[in-house]
Amino acid sequence: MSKLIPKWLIWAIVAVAFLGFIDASYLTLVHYMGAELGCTEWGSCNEVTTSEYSVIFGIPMALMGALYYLAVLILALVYIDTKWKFPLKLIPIATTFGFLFSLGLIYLQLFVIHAICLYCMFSAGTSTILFILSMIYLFTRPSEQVDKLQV
Amino acid sequence: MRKAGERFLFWLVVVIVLVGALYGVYRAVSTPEEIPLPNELTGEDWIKGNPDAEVVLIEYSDFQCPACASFYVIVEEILDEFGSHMQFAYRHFPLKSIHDKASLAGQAAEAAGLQGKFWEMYAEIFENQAMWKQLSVNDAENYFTKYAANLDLDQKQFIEDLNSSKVENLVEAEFKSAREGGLNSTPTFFLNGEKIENPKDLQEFRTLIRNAIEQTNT
Repeated sequence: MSKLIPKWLIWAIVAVAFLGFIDASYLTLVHYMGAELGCTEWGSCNEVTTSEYSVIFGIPMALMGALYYLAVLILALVYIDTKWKFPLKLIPIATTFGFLFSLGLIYLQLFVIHAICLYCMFSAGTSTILFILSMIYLFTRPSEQVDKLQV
Repeated sequence: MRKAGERFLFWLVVVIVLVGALYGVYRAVSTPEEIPLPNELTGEDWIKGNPDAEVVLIEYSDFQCPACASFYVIVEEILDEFGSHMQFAYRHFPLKSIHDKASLAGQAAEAAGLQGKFWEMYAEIFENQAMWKQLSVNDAENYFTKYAANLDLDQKQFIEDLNSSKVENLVEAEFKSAREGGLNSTPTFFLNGEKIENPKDLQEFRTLIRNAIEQTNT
């Protein structure tokens, strides 16, 4: 039986997943629209987003990121809409993978490509926050009474 | 369970917000910038090539940007080939938010310039970028001072100039003018006052320059 989730927590997940989705969508569009060759002040150097690591099995990393955030967002929204508990089981699993994946990408930026892409770091931040939020849900046990009043 | 109408409204809002956000991102990526920049040479520019040539190439660049280092090689080739028919100016656009030593490198070039060796220092800095960009700001300054010694510059004067507010302000002023002109990436090239898409390789750059030279001859 799944636990209930405080209202603030599920909406925080929605908000952070939304930010992550916007960020990753931006990177995806830049990837497909072939933005300029060079360094951009806020997007950092294309050496990260055009490196051999930016694509896995022909799929741009940024697109995978966007789909990941969209999936977490929709899971949280489905829960908010239906109160069906199943999405709450999936969110911690998804965010754990997302977090580990982000750690891998930070490692690549710092130690392999030796370049940092600010938008990629922002995404690492949002996926870390999502992970922390879902761990708060897993490891705290709010009383059902309070939750029923809150939700 | 909520009413069907409420649920429909909920998902409608979700879809509208998502589509709206995606459209916003699309606009952000695709909007071309308008650039009212000082795209003609000024007396303060560092110029290479033939100062009487009509064809003018201006580069806004960042010494710590890897793409700029790649273009440095290409621009050198272009100048070897067409240097008598064109002039080239370098302007500082250090992307400070991502490159911690870009301004310092620009100041090093300017400090060398005060002793008449801007272009020599410019070459040293770009050719050794992979080396100094890994260092701390202090260590990088020591490296630049070493390059200054290699170029037979007065080291004491070089260090003094590099840290002087005059040189700092100069690099900062070019950075600001580039920002205000709407530039956001390096390198950005202006050929005869027109912003150009960065050529993909030497061959494409060569063609652009050759066409510009031919146009001025006709």
